[in-house]
Parts: sequence; C-alpha cells; structure tokens
Amino acid sequence: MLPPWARYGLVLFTGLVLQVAFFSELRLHGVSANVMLLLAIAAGLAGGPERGALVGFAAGLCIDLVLPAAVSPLGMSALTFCIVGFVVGKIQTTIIRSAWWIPMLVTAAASAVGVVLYALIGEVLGRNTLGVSNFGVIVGVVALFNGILSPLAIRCVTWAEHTDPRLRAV
Amino acid sequence: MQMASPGRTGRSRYTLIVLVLVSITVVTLDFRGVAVLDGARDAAMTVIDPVQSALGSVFEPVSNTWNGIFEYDDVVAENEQLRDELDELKGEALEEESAQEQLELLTDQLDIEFTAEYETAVARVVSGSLANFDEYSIHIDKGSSDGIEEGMPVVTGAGLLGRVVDVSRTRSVVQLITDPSSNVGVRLGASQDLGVGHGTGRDGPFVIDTGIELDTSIAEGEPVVTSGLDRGLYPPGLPVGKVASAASSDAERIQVVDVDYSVAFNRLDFVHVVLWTPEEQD
Repeated sequence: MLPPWARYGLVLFTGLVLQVAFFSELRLHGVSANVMLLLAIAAGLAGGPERGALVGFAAGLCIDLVLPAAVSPLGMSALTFCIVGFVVGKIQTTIIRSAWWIPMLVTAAASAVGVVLYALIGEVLGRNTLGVSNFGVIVGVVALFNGILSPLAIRCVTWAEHTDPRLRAV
Repeated sequence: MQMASPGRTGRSRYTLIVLVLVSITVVTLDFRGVAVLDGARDAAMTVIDPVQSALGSVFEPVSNTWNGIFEYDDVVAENEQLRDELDELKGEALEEESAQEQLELLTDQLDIEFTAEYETAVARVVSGSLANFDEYSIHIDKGSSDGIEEGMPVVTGAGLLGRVVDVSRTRSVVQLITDPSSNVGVRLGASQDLGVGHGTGRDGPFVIDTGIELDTSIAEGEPVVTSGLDRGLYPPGLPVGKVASAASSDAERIQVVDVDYSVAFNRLDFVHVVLWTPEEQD
C-alpha cells in the first residue's frame, strides 16, 4: 500500500492532467471547473484543516507551474487554495457524514469564496482579476461545476487519506 | 464541535501560517524572475505536455459533444456566417485577380519593391486558456526550442491574432488582441490616419480611441492595419480588421472607431508566429 503522501501525489497529478487536458475544454459561458481548488476543498472536508492547507498548497503550486507567469505568478494559487482548504477543514466536523447534498453545497460555496479570494489576491499582485467583465459568471460556473464534481473528488481524497471508512462520502 | 484537542488545532494553524508565508515568498521570488522558478515551470511543462497532448485527443470526442450541446446555437450561426463569407470571398477573388494583374503591371512600370515578407513559423493551437482568468490567452505547441521569443506577433491567414507573452521550451502563450489591456498602433487604410486601439473583450469589437482626427473621413469596411509605430510592438502592415462604425467624440476632439476583427477568435487551429521581435526595430 502506498503511503498517504504518495497517494495524494497521485490524486493531485491526475487532477492536474484532467484540468489541463479535459476540464479546461468543457466550458459553460467560457468558464471551466477548477479541479485543483476542488481537491483542496475535498481534502479539507475529508482530512481537517491541516490536511486542507497542505493539499491546497500543493494543488495550487501544481496549477501555478503550468499557468504562464503573466497570468498566475508561482504561489498565487498556492496561497489562495491553502487558505480555502484550511477554512473548509475548520468547519468540516459533521458535514461529511450528513446528507449527500450538503458536501456538494459546501463545496460549491467554498469554490465561490475561493475564486473571489483568488481574484482579490490577483488584484493585489496587479493582475486585473477583479476587473474581468465576466467575473460573476466565473464565480457562479466554478461553484456549479465543482459542486457537481465534489462527490468524486471527496471519494478520491478519502482514498488518499485512508481514513475511517465510515467517513466515506456516499 | 470538533473533537480535536487544542494542541492539534494549534498545530494546524501553525501549518497554515508557514504555508502562507512560503507562498508569499515564492510569489515574491517569481516577481523578481528567479531563474530556478522558471526552470521549475519548464520542467513541469515538459512532464505535462505529452500527457496533455495524448489525453487531449482521447477526450476530444467528449469535449466536441459538450461543445455541440452547449454551443449549438453558436455553431449554427457561425455556419451561416461562413457560407455568406464564402460567397463574398468567391466574388472578391475574381475582383482580386484582375486587380492583381493591374498591380503587377503598375509595379513593373514604377519599379516599386514590396516590403519583404516576414519569415514565420507555423504552430498548432493546443488549448485555449487553461484557467478562468486567462481568457485572452491561447497556448501553442512551439517554444524557445523552435526559435520563438517573447514579443513575437502571431497571425493567421486573415490577420493579427496577438503576441507571444510567455515562452517555455516547447510551448508558448499568446496574448490575444481582444484583451482590453493590449494596445495596438494602427493605420486606417484609406486616410492613412494613425491611431491606437485595443480589444474590448471576448465578444466586443476592436476600438480605436486615440489619434483619429475629427475631420478624417472614415468609410465602413475600410481596412485597418498595424502601423508599426506604437513603440513598435508589431511590424507595420498586419491586417487587424475592417471598420464597422465611427462616432465622433466632440469632447475629446477625436473619432472613436469600432473595428470588426478579421480573425475569427473562437475557432483557432493553426497560427503563424512572425519571427520578428520589437527589439530588432530599435
């Protein structure tokens, strides 16, 4: 059996590949899912604040590495996602064991918050991310996509976490 | 509430603080252009590139289906538009033939030499934007190993597309001229008036809002080309589009000109990178 860090590495790599090769092509109003942010949120839900922060940081670095510097300087997504993962982990407690739609809703809300935070940080770094004409659409569509994908993401992260099977999302 | 002990909570907070500080450090270093980080980017792209290309073709039917469902209306409209354009072009081709003959005749007589054509490299568009805040960029499959450099203009057969803003070994990122923050120095075809224009987003027209005098007469359909003057970001003579409409702004004593792009930005396949950098002009 692989150690957790290796399994998380596998999940993150798969997520990154799917993001650049698949999900970035599936667009609604020109906006695609944000898989790496989704994995950070799922890790927070399944593993708590510390895990959320660590996985969020790693996931953010992964996507920053493949985005051009002019768009996302290295560390910008890492900063955003580790904060989001941490906060989601803080409010996690009973969410994962509750009705199936609650984690989806929480993921959607956390994704929206994550995108806004990303845009805020981008603006501070001089990236005109708040000023884009379709900002509201980006927030809404990312929340929608990530919400729909969340059961799958939580399942993957739970596998990597190898926690108590009773915590598995249904 | 959570059953975790206070010690655990403290540790997770400590982890967060460390990670935030590390992120900020990395961002700072990246802003300073530290070579190690560029190396890391190149390495990541080298790993991801082949996987992305391979999986991209595997997933293509799925994304085509998706686009067929969610962009059906656009596809139908585009189809219609393309048919119209084709008819128009057939007509123009005939006109052009005779014009070409006349032109040859005249240039022979006058002994004019045409400005040398620029050398170009053909590249394939591998993806549009990868994330959601880079909607004005596309990725192409040529990089520094093919002689691509930052600042090179990118065109299609129809006209100016944008310029290379980021180069890794095998990939480059092109900023499209639809980006509101990218300025292009332009020249109007008929009056030879000079101005500066910029994009207005995905669906908006190209707008020239600097430099066109009130007394310039502007005709609809007049070609607009790069001037090569606005700090020389582009070589002169690359087509940008055709004038759609012009409105005079008395307050600023200028005319604001809307231009329809000659390039169709939503369906890009192969592009030409012009092997020309702004520095060469200085």
